[in-house]
Amino acid sequence: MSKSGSPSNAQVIQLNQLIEADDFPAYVAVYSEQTVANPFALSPTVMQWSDRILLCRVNDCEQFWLTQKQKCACDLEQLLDPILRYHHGADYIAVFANHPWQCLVYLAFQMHQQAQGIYFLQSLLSRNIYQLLEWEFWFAPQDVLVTHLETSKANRFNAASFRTRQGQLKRFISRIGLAGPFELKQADHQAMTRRFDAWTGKIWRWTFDTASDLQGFPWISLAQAPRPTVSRELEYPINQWCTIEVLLREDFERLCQQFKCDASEHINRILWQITLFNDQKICVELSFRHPYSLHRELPVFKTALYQAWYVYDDLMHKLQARDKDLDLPEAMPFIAWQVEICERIHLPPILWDLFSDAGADFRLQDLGELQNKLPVPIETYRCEASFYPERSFEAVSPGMVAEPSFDHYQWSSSSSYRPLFYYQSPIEIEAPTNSPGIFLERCASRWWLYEDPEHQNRDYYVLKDTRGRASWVYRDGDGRWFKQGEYF
Amino acid sequence: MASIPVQFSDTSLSDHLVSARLLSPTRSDQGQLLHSGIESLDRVFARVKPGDLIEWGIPPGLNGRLIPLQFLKRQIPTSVWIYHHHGLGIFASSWISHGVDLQRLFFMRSAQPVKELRPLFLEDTFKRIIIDSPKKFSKGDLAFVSQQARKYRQIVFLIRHYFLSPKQGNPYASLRLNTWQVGRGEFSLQVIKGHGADKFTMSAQQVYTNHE
Repeated sequence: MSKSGSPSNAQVIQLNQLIEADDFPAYVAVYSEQTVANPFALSPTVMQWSDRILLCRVNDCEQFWLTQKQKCACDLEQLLDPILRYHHGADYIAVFANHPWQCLVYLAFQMHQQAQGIYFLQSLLSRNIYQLLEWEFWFAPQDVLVTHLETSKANRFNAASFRTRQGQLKRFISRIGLAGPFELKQADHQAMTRRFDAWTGKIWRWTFDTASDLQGFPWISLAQAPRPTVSRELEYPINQWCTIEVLLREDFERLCQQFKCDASEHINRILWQITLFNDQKICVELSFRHPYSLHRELPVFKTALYQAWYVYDDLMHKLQARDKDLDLPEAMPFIAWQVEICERIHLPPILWDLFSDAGADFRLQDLGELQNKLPVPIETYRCEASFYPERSFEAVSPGMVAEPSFDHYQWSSSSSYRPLFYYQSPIEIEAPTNSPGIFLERCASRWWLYEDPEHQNRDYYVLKDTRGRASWVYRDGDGRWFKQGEYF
Repeated sequence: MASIPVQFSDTSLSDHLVSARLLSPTRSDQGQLLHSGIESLDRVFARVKPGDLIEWGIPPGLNGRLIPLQFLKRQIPTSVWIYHHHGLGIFASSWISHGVDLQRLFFMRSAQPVKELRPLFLEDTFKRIIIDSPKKFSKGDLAFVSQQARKYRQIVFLIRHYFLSPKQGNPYASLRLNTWQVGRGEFSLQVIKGHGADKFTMSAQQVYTNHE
């Protein structure tokens, strides 16, 4: 392992790495012996599969985890392992896959193996093992599945009938001599439905399908604690921000008390339901690009109030525009409101340790906190290994490792004569009547992906208008001209 | 030995020294804050100090932004470029090719920076702020930005999309310049307010070369 925690370059084959095409799994099944105090550590969408097994839908927070992964310059396993250990103990087993049923089947195998740690079903190694699994691991989670199907009153499900069909399937397998489900892969789920029953067909589909839809899987979400909510009925209508701000500050403090001042609770979204003077209710949202800790800003709540101000200002403009022709107050007053935390995530201190940037000249956390106070995102970019203009760089989240791991000189130096600002969608223009201008370069896209590779070239020029203003234009393989940038 | 009264303690003495230094117009003990590597350009910016606002006149299409860019290459503090060019985005590989450190230069899109990005000016997260052709930027906004820059010892570049003129002054700017590219081989810089030559040129090679 290198110092940064990333896998050493000395490793030739990394079978435990995710394959590029499917980088982020949708679900995880976690087994642990200890009682889990906070099941919502990875996602707000959780199902208690059994006493010891939790299912989480991690792609609800995909952007968040991918950002943390890139910030910490590590892979998903290195990012999630300390978090899983913190919540589930050292002997946990976690299986990530695109469908909860696949997680459970593979988890049954790993439990049988008395394994520990994280497994990604998308990885080459796990995928190969999964395809060789025996029937016992496929049948193992079905007892609990029956319980959940009954609890959720699944459509046309009868436990006794299902068990009969299971018995038939087992006899069939024994007669034919099949070692595992993948030996019968040629039979699709419709064939299994016809031969046995609809629920056997569904389970069959869950076993092989790579899509992340539940497809009838009986997901029963674990209820979170009631959302912290604070309501206020105003003594008199108000519409001035200076007054609203004071009262909102009190309400944020009351919300903190509902959390019992737990500093690890972080908020993604707050819902502010406002009742106007004409009794109309309007819901607006305060959203935070980075998980925001209300407690850390006690008693000032600067960030939350900034977001509330942006929302209030926007709402006032919209109401004034809407009510211009009506005989209503110029700035519609509020008579009541309710503030509710509708999306939150529990981030233990260990996760904040991962973000420590003692070596940086500025604190990423300061940037994240500032970001939360602003209505527009902070943009940052890094170089990519491509000469093709649109692919020569990538937008990244602030704080992510911006320096590429390769020497980008040959690619970045090719952009010296390109403009600083460009049109994300090139604008078609008329062909220049006179000389097209100064020729800069010819670029080709990934021509091998197209049926007409000879038309994938672009010839770039600097084109000046009558006032001497320079634009960055190109002529494509079909002879059409486009403006793609401005030399500001 | 009697103890030294608080007002004469070491800390207060160093504070007095610092404040005394600030009164001095020339601070030869500190290096130049804005450094481009182009000698003629550096002479113009030799006296820039924290808290200064520099106004640039750079009409569109004349490639003039390459000149302020010279001060955003390596070893810059955390900086932000606030832009609002209709339909245009940042072509990051071009910035990188000019040696700009994109780990320290961030971007934000806003037509009314003071109104929309007020928290940014109320903190010292960014030590260099470039406000590029804001759609709305009143005298009150200018006064506010200037005041905050002095408070947090930031340097602010305010880029206008027209050439500046001495007929319409700006008391908040310590330096006012126009800059544009002439043909393909030269960049011109005209000092409207500030020290240094009134007008001079730089070769394209000087501007396009990375000066370490």
